[in-house]
Amino acid sequence: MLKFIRLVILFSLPIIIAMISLEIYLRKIPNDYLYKRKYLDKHSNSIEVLILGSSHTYYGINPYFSKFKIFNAAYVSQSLNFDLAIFKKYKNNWRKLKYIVIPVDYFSLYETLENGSEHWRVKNYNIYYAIKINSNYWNNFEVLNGNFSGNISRLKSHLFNQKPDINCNKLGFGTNHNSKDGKNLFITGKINAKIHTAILENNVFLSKNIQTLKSIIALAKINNTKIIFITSPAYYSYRKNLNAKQLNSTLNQIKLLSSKYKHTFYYNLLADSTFLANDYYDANHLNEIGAIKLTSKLNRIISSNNNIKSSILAK
Amino acid sequence: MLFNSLNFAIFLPVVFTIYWFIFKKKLRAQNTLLLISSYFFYACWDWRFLFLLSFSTLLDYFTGFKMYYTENRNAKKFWFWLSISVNIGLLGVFKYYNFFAASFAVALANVGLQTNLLTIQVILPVGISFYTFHGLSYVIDIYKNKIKAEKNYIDYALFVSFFPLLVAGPIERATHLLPQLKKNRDFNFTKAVDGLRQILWGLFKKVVIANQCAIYANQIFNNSETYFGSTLVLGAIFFTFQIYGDFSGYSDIALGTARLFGIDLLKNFSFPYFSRDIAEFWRRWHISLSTWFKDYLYIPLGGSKLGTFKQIINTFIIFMVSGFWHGANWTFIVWGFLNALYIIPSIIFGTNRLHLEAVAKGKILPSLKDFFAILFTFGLTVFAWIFFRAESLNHAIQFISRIFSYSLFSLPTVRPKMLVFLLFIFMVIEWLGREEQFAIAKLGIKSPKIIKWGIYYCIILAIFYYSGSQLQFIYFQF
Repeated sequence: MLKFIRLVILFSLPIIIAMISLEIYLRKIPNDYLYKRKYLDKHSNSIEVLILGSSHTYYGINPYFSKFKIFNAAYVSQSLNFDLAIFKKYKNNWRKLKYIVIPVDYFSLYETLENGSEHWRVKNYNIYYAIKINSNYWNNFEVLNGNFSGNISRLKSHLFNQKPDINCNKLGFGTNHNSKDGKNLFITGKINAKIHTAILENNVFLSKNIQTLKSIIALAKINNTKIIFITSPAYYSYRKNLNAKQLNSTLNQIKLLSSKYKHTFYYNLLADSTFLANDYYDANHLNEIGAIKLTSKLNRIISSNNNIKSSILAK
Repeated sequence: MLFNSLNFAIFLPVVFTIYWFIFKKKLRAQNTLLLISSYFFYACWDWRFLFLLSFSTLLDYFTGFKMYYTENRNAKKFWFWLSISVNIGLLGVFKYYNFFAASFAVALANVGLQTNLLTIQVILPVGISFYTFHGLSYVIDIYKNKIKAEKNYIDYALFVSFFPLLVAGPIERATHLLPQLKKNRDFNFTKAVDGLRQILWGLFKKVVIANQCAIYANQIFNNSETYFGSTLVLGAIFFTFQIYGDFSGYSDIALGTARLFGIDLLKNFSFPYFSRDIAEFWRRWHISLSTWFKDYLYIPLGGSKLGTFKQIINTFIIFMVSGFWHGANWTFIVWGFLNALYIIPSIIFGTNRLHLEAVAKGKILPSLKDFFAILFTFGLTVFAWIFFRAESLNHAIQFISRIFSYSLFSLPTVRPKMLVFLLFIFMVIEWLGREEQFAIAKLGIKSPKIIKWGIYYCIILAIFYYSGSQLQFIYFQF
């Protein structure tokens, strides 16, 4: 028996040592989460517009084309509960924050990061943002989450090319959805719509996400911040494959919420004709050209809201 | 709790340590520990279904007891049918109610009658088909006076719910497992090391083969209308390897885990894709289910003793029931029907027991005849798996009709070279180990430790490299 235990320990030792070394090294590689957290630690008191949400805003709003002091804190698959957590984390720092932009898209109310296929990303919030939403102990380790091959290529590129794992620009906009690498809009439209379509019956996330939205709204009110909800633009190949029930439910819920609270605004850009095929990286993500358009649109929305406010104040 | 999860990687050593160090040579305590651990393992999915598992266990224990100790034939019959009907009834409600309700409504609609039958939202309890079949075999064996009723409830409950086999088999027999649970178990170094080796190979099959094949099989099956026939063939082949890697991988982990506790479970797979005909395939695929149906359905129906025609009918019955056992969908029934159809020629010509031994025994390569026979059998299996994987009969028919078009001769649009290479390596290892309990049982065993361990580290590296998402095992849904 002891011989067996000795053998198992001896055999496992190199694996355990390799895993621990990998964990330590991976944590040293600069990444988007760490970058965004450090930026917010330092600048949250000077930001005027904060972008939250998933890849739709991460790749959709480029602060370099905005006339406001804006930061894109959105990230791939970041669900509403993580938006709330980020907003809450710096609640005492938002001294100049006037607007938060939150995308409420087809899938936003029907899933959360920790329960979806991208749940492995939760560890990034635990490790780099110090946001503990999910109590799963395993989410505190790099090597135990995500794709091992992905971790190895991150390690390789950092070891041999000294390349950090940062895919956003200095203001948080995702830079790896370039127009030259665009995907087939028809195939991605169908596939992504399917991935985003939820099982509606007994969906436990709907009420949870609405509650999260209400919490964001309440916190924004205390902070005297306005919320701009948008439904991100998507190509028609994506739109035509959406489940009408899920889409209508989402749109109705967000319309209802924004009409209820005076400091919230809602803009449905899903079928906005300004965005053409060339603006998309795939059927539901903008490329850098589309991002300029969406950012300009956001500029106009904020300006018009400011004008309304000014005119109300003038009266 | 999945076998390929971190939770299981903690759970197993903890139970193992308590079992061998704290409860060493204390059979009662060891069995109680295994039972509690098994219930904990099951509760990690959904603790509410523990009540159902406990009820089913208690029912079969009680009826088995009553049956065995009564002299009255009618009373014996009563307890027997009570157990059978409640077991089948539970399975029916949880697994088949909506299927029957929907099929009945469609049938009525076809004759012009509109109905509004109630369909219910039922969550399928994990492993219900497996533990129900454990219980059924026990009750039937007592009824037929093949075994005595088990007096010790802990032992019986452990027979039903021993955690390695609880959620996806192998479907055990009381005659095989109960005697092992009643015997003192000494730690056996060779058996334990062999168990670890089998677990390692099972993990490789699941994580590297099944999960990687699943990526492409899902992509192709879910978007079949956009692919050429040649790509669809590739999708069907990937699914063929996915389901094998998934289920036989699970079985290997289950068998290996049980060996760590000094318990041998029934072998469930024996290199089925090297079969030379369909009859051989079914002696090598999901062996514990095939033999269950043979013993408790095929033979009671008369088996092969009542002439060829009756044998053909019986074969159709067991394959259709086997298909239906897999799930409440017509696709599974057609899959079963197709397999029965494949096997009929060998029944007619009396060749269904032609290949009882491993192919090319003692040789490195098969004969040309065996090679083509393996290829042909594999082709038939791939075709049948299309029905098994398809969402519906319509989907399967569309999938097949797209295969048999001119686009079959075009280049596939999906070409995962690395996966094809992995499958090649996998099949070579399986071929080399086809006469063993599992493929790597003897791989490098006589080589110096450095080579032997090197092989294992390579396998572990591949498992880590392809790990990521913890995909459920396919057979959990059955």
